[in-house]
Amino acid sequence: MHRDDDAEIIAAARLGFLDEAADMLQQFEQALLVMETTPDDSENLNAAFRAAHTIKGTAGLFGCDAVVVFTHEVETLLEGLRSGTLPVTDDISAALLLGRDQMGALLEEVRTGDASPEVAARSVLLGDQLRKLYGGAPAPVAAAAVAPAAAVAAAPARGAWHLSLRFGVDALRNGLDPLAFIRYLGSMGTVNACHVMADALPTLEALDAEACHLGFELRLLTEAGQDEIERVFEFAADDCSVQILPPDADGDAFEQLLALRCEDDADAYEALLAVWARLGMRMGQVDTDAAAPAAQETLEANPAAPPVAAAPVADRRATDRRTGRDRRAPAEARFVKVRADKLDHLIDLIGELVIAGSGAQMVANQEGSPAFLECTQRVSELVQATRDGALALRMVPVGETFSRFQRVVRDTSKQLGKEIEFTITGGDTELDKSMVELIADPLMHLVRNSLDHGLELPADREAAGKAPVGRLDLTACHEGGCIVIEVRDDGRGLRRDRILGKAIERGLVPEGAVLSDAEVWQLIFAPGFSTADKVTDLSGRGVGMDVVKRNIEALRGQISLSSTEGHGTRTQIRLPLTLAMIDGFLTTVGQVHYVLPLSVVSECIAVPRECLSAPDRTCGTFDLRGEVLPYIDLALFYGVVPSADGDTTPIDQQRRSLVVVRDGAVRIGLVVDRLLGEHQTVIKPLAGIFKHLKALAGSTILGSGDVALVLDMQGLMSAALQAAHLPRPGARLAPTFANE
Amino acid sequence: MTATSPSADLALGPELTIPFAADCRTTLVQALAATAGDLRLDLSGVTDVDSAGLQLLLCTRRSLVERGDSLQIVACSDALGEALGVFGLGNLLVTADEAP
Repeated sequence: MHRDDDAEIIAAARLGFLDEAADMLQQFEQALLVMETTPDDSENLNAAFRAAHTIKGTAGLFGCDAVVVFTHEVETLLEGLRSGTLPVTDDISAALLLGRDQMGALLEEVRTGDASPEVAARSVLLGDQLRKLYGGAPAPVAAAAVAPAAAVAAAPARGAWHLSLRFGVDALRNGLDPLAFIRYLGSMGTVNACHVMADALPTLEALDAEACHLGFELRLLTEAGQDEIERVFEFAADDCSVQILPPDADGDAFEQLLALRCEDDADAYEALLAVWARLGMRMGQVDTDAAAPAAQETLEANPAAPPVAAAPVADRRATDRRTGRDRRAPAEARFVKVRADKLDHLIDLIGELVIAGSGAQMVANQEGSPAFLECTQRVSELVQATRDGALALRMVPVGETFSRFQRVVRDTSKQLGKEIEFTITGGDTELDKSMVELIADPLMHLVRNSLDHGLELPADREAAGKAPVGRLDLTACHEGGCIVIEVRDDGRGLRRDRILGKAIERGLVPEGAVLSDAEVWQLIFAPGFSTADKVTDLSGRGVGMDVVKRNIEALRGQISLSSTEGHGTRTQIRLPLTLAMIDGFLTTVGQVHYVLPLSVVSECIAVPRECLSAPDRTCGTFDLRGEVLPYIDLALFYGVVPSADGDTTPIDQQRRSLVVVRDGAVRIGLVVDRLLGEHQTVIKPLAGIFKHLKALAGSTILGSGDVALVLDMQGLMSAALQAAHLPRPGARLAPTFANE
Repeated sequence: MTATSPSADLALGPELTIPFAADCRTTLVQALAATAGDLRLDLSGVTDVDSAGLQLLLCTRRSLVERGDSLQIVACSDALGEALGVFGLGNLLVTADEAP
């Protein structure tokens, strides 16, 4: 149980990471494309670098080593561009774009969970290429470099490098000892000033003695180049954030470092600037000699001494903070985190707006003023667009729910000794957030059913002439106003005779009844029905499919199942995209308004002769251009009392209409009194006391303040089909056919 | 090792490294609780020290500074002195030098 929970949490976090990474990749690509046109835009280079760095960092957290190793190469090359040691060339930007694709491929592998050797090979190849670009280039490039300062770097001067190190919290546990790193740096030259960032340390009471909170700012006097210094930290890349500024680094580089280390924290800015001052650094000035200790003394002796330096530093900080905020703005603008209840409130308000809007429309119709009508028309279009926009805010990809099954499939297949290939298609299909959460459990049940009962052991599969590896597919797609989710396996399928036998045994079906395949499969959903011989850990307790069906129907969805013995089972769930608002089609029956989802209405015709000739029949069949379709007379179906006005009783049959509705492949006719046309419908749930009413999905409020009932298509369809299939007394059949 | 007497110098060691860090921390926390004023450490017996050990000392100092006291290292081994030097933490020893 706990393992499942943990796995789910990790899976969710991982998805978060992948989503963020996908977004970062997009920013990265955008920045690279901008870089090609304006190579001097340092802000843009920073954006690219930050994106790559973030991907690397979070990938490290999730142990995606392939991503980390490769992204590191990309990042290093970018660092070269950023620090000005490399110019932006076509080769480099091409390589970086290839690198971006490769990062995408690697992240995709993380998402899907399979690792292809081709991708790994390409990682190595591209990695080499990138390394060559930043390793081989510096010398010839320096001459051509724009910044004159770069020329200084070309000559191996014994300069004072600035290193800013922040060790990760797990560094010590992973066997990385900062002490050893700094000692080693000492062997490359002289560490002439080192400062431990004590502010970041917790108090002793709050300290986890094995966690690492150490950060350092240090000055290294060495003749070694950037590569050599970087190599010191190469194997610590995951656990240490290292920033190396060359002796000739200009103020911008330090500003960037400040921004990186302190983000927007003003106190941290001050503290870091103070540390740097104590280390003997003067920002924006080239510092190539060993004057640092001397500077340190002066500064310590008289902390307020350099007013000349202090002012620019303060200014710089101010500007840097400003630019810092600007730089972050695009990233923040991409996503705004909003509390779910605020969103729900907005949707509610828009629901009210829709209702008020249709009220206005109605008044406009009554007034008959063309100008007024035109205005309300425009308003109602806008309201509709607003409604769609607001509903879209709540749409989330269904894949988030799907991917949690990866782990379930893996664990279950191991536990049962089955080999299963699990594929997910259409994970980006969107569905209302509230529904995504609600379908997870039913889906889990279906997946487990397939794993447990459907798919056979490898040996059994081979014996049956099938590939030893079973397939389980989970797909989602949009169809009309619905989302269709399918769970399909190529297992042993359902045994028709056994289901029928069981149903007869339980008295669900009379002995000797002849049922269609679809009807047999439908028996699976009867309460307490299970054909499994033995109860397993996973499923087969007989509390399965009826609960699934109930859950799906509670979402105004429907579930159907088909199976071929020996070849597998396919379960299909159709769900409306949202529970909140739909485009409706308003009709009246008697004095009651009924709303149909507009998406199911296929045509409206005059009531056919077959219905007219049998005015007292609730259900029957009629002929639609040669096709026999069942119909329901809603007035009789709901027992609507004929209008009390007196003059229209009995209902004027000639003025009534028949609405042909379609759901999937099934079409039925609904006989109503009047058609009122399109209506934006905000669905309100029916209170518990109305639960027993048949085929009602909810209610809605009309512009006039009247209540309309929202018809539940599935309920009506099954009522119509049942009626059409039930053996009917010949006396009633006869007139229907006699008229044909 | 008794860490409860406020007057006595608290001796740590010989290992001030990550395997012993959790125990050391416990000792130091107890000592902090038992000591009213400055905490005096006798670190002459420290033969091995790593970053975890140094971090412990820094955190102890922070805790002491927060309550208005200071950390006094009254005796220090060569190994520890060298390590403190690498981190640029020679000033930790200043109080020890000044101490009688």
